[in-house]
Amino acid sequence: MDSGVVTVLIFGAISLIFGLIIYLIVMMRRLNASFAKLGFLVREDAKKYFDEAADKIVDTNKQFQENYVDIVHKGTQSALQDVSNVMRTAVVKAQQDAGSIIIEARKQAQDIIIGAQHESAAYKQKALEQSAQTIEWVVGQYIGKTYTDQQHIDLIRSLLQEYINENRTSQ
Amino acid sequence: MTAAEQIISELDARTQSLAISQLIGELQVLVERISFAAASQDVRNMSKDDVELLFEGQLSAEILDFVGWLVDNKLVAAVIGDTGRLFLNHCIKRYHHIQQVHFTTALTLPEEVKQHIARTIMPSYPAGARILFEVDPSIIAGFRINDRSRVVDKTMRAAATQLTRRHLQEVLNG
Repeated sequence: MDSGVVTVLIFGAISLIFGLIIYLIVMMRRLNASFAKLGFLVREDAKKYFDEAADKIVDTNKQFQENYVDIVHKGTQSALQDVSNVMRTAVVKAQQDAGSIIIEARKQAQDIIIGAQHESAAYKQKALEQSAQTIEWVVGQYIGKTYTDQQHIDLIRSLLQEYINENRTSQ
Repeated sequence: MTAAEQIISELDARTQSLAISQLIGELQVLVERISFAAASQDVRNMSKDDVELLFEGQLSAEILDFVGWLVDNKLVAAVIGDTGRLFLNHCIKRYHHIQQVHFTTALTLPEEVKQHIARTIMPSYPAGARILFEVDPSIIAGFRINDRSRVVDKTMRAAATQLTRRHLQEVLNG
């Protein structure tokens, strides 16, 4: 083969190789740029995603807060209503209890009064009986020590005559 | 007065202080015991000692006194056998309707005082009555008559109680 042809072929080959190398370099650069861009995009996407997530969190929080406020509001209303119901029931029951208590108190007062009257009457009766027993005992002791048999008999005769006279009068 | 009437009169006179139930009970013992004794011995002629031995404290002094009167007057046959049962039936019917009057005093009264009381009270019981004298020191003094239809309380205890109650009522009522 001709040396010139060979030279041309070699030169052509070397040129092709250089061309390929240059293309490869260019491609590599472009690839790097693409990767960089891809990285940016990725980063941006990530940023965007997190921002959305953050917004969602904010939204969620906001909604939660709104819901919370709503829950609290409704809960408070409900609680107030319940309290109102409980209070009303309690008031009604208190009124009923108060009525019952008043009735019971009146009854107890009446019982106490009646009891006191009975106790007073019983005490008075007891006092009378005790006093009567004491005086009976004193009289008994006195008569027992001072009365002779004859005085007993004289008293019996006298009382017997009194009884006969009363009997005649009543007939 | 027939012998039967005389026996009843003596029984009445000698047993005034006995309750009707005691009188009837002792008369039943008298008739049964003396009828039983009559089967083995001549009770018509027994002495007072024989009478006391026969009854051995089963009868009160009043009934024993009445039996002694029967023995003394040869009238024991009236309380033996069938005659005795007739006598007992007659006494049960007779004393069943007689009213008993309980006369209670604080001490045992002498006999003459009892008789005076009996004479004084008896007109209040035209149908007849048996006055039983009883002793209850708790009445303090005076007497109480209880004939079941009424009670006459002339005791010192009742008077003391009544006066005390009246006095205390006046004090309590101001």
